[in-house]
Amino acid sequence: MTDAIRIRGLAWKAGRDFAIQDMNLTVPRGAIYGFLGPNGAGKTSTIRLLLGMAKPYAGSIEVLGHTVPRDAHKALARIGYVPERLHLYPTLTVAESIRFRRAFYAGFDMAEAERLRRHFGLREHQLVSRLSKGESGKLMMLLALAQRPELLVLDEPTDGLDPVLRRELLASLVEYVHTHGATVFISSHLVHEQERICDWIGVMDRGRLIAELPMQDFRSGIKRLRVMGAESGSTADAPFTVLSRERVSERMEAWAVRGWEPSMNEWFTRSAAEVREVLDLDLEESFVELLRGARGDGDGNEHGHGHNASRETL
Amino acid sequence: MFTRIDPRSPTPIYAQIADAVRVAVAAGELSAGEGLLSVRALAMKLRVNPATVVQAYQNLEREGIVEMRQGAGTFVAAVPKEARSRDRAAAARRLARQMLAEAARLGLSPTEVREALDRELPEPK
Amino acid sequence: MFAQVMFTQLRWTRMILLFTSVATFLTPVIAWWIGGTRVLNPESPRAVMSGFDTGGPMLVLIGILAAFLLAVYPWTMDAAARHTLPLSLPITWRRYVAMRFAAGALLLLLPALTLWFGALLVVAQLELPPTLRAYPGMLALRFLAALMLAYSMTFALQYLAGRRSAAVALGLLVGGVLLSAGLAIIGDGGVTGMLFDWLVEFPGPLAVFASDWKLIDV
Repeated sequence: MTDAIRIRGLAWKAGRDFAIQDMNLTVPRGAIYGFLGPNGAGKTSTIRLLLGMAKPYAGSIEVLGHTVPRDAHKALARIGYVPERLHLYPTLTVAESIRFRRAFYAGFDMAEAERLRRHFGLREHQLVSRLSKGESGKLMMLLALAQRPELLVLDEPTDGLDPVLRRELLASLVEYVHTHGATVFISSHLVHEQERICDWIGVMDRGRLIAELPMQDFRSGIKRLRVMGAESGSTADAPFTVLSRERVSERMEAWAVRGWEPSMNEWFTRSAAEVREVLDLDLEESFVELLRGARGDGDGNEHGHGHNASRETL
Repeated sequence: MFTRIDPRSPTPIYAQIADAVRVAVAAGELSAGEGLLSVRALAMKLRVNPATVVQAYQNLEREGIVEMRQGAGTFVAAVPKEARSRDRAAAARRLARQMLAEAARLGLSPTEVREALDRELPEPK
Repeated sequence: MFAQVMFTQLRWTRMILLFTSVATFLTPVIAWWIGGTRVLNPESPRAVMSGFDTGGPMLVLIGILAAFLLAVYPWTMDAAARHTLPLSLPITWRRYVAMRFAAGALLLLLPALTLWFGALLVVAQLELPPTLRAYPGMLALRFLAALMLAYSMTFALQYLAGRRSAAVALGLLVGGVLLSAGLAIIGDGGVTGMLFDWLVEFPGPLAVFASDWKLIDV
């Protein structure tokens, strides 16, 4: 069982506009995998499919070695899920919620749940409906961690929370990963958080996974070039992918490129252009440029939407 | 020592951590035999993947700056004085390189840069 | 696991259960009181017998309402979050639904029990002539059967049709009305009459609701 999550050829449809098509996704064991994508890209749907809450039209999903959705309940015994929406019964208290959850998981660590409850400052007899957003976020994280899962699936776990709380939750997540060597799958649009903590990145847009790489390779793979004297013609014959082109001044353009290497400067000199500067992009900028390329609205030479990522593409 | 790491910087996080330790040791903030934060504590504090911290510490150990003792933690090794000054020199050159890159972007000539430096630096006593 | 499902079921439906149990407990005495206004001797067993002409339908109404609420309300509690909580638990959906059903069904014992107590209480106050007998246990059992039937039907509809269950129920009703009207036009009105009779008369499935409910009989 080398991978925690293995999705191959996934197809799913919801309504008329939205569809996931031929999606391949792999999360290696022990990785902290960041799932990025704009709203509506299909991240939450992918997560629901992963957990067996929806049935795919085609393709295979394997989580912790179990086929989903057929054996979803077996996989779920080892998965801690923290969804975006409230995943608690509002009329129970904090203590009752913990006791409810415990009854379903053989490896539930009651002592750890108690420790986290006190650490997070949650009172036992507080009604869930009276908890603030931050407190219910903490409770959901607590319940997921106390299960002692091998895989944590988090969907926007820190969205709408204040920075202090975000740090607390991330710190407790990091602590758990260190102590238990768990695999983590985080879907979030808070790119800078993902940048700190994730060692793998998967980018989804409009129902397709357009990139999946180790974090370092992702960031070093996309660069911004300041190009002087470039013609406005086609770049289809370039040995690298042009994600977007933007005019900065009369003679200077900023190109976002993928798979470029300094040895490729020759291509520029051939057309009397010159690469003046090479800039590294942070994750957010890389992500934005990647999307522009994938959608074909950056004037780059990428194919637009027929394109699904494989490991080797970057 | 560690206030923050910058995830947006092109330098990988493990390298930023290793750099910070190296500089701290070179500047005398961390003395020989002193213990560094545990992997777990530092990872939690910085909110980064613990594997990243491990990588940083392992790199430092390879360079001989720290030693990781099983069960006890990671400690600053007795670094010879030459290594320390070597690290300081490397840090200084990194700083100079950054400044020169910025100067190039502004289109300044080496002469202009040297003149400005002379004017800014205090007179050696 | 079942203990926790039961715990939440009770927590959510405890008020409904309480009101229903009190209502069923009081029904025999209320029926007696109503019957007492209709006969010459309000203290006699005949008052009770007469009263159950009203008491019977009361029980049917209480039973159907309670069964409906006990089947539907827990569903809405889960549905508020699109069932993500039970769906993410490490059990199959079928198992979860079975546990919910069993929890609700077990709780239905309570109003049947209180009905039995209320009936026993009424019977204890009466002096029965040798020609008449009291059936408090049978009454309670019949009520339990009616509850179970109504609960099962509502539960099945709710969990199969989900959010659309109200629409489905309405659709079935309208469909039934249209069907009988259509058949009447064709001149075959007897069919629906026969169907209805079959359903409602013993041993048809809905027989337990119809006909007379008696606490005291010959």
